[in-house]
Amino acid sequence: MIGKKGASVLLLIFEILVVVAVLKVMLDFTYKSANSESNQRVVFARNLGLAAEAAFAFDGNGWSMISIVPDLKKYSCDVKENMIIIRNKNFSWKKAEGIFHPIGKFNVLCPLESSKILKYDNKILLGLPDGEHFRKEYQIFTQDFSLLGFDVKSECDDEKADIGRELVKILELKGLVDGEKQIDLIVRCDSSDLRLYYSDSVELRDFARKIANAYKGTAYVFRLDMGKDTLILRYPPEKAKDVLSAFGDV
Amino acid sequence: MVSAYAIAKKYIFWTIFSIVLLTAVFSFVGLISRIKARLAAFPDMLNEEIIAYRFLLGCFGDELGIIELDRFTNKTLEQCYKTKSSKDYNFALELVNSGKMIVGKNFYWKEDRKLNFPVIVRNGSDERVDELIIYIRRLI
Repeated sequence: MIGKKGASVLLLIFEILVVVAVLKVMLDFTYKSANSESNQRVVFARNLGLAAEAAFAFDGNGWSMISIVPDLKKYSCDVKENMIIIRNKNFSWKKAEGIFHPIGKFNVLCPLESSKILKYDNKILLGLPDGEHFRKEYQIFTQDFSLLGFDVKSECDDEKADIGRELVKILELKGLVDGEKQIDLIVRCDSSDLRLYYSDSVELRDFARKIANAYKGTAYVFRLDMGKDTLILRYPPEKAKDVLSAFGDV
Repeated sequence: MVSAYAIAKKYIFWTIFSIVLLTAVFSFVGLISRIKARLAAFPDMLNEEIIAYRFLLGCFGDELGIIELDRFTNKTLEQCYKTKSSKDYNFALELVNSGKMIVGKNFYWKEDRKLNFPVIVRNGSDERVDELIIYIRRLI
């Protein structure tokens, strides 16, 4: 039989266990609460608010991008005045707000389909769709490229992705091989997006810009400080056909 | 028969127990909401710095670190950074060498923090090196 002393020890152990159990439940609850969807939504909305705030200080002349890490499929996004409203797609009443301070000329938008932020043309796009959907349109001043004559030199190691030969054919068809102004067209298949580097010439710049505009993905045009007229074409190997069709469209 | 003392003792015990339990529950809920708020909040220093960087680009000039003196006005500051009250970060800006200072509408002295940046001040065709001090007043 348990004595009086034994009973009080058992009671004490029981009380300690109860306290430990209560503490465990409280800690579990706190942990779950901190990792809850509602908290993640609030953090996400505030992150986007801060990202918009930061984007105002970016140089908007190029493509400035930073990454954010949300589960974008779950959420929809609205921008109202100085507020980014993130809603759970399945439960629209569950929302969170991120605040920013807009500058008059800038328009903050959030397509929220991918995880990039872009600032250009007085727009700040939060959660930018992939390059295919949002391309920079370059302004073109010259349409007459008849003076240009390209001499194609391929530096692409990947045979399947090498568009050198096809490019010569396309340029021949367009009458852009025997032009008055001879230009070295260097072809490289070593980029993650289409990049065109041109040496100083208005016609060549506009030709590069026209290809960039005709290309279906993300394309950039850069100026090179080189003596000889050159156009360097860098593209992702898997997009070789798209690059060819952009040349075909020009 | 149960004595009046025993009944009173029981009532007192349950009353105190209920108060303690309710206090514990409310404290716990409060603690959780405080933890959640802290998890989602950004430190003041990060927030205010990120806002302050806009004054170096886009507000008073179109190039990074270049300030057009004729654009360095309270009106431009108001257009560039609108605040509704002192419950927001507020800023005052000073160009040390040019001796010009602009103060946000809801900025009340004294500042909580100061940021110093070297800048170029452009006044027509004249360009001079200057120091921009950004005074930050945190949420009141």
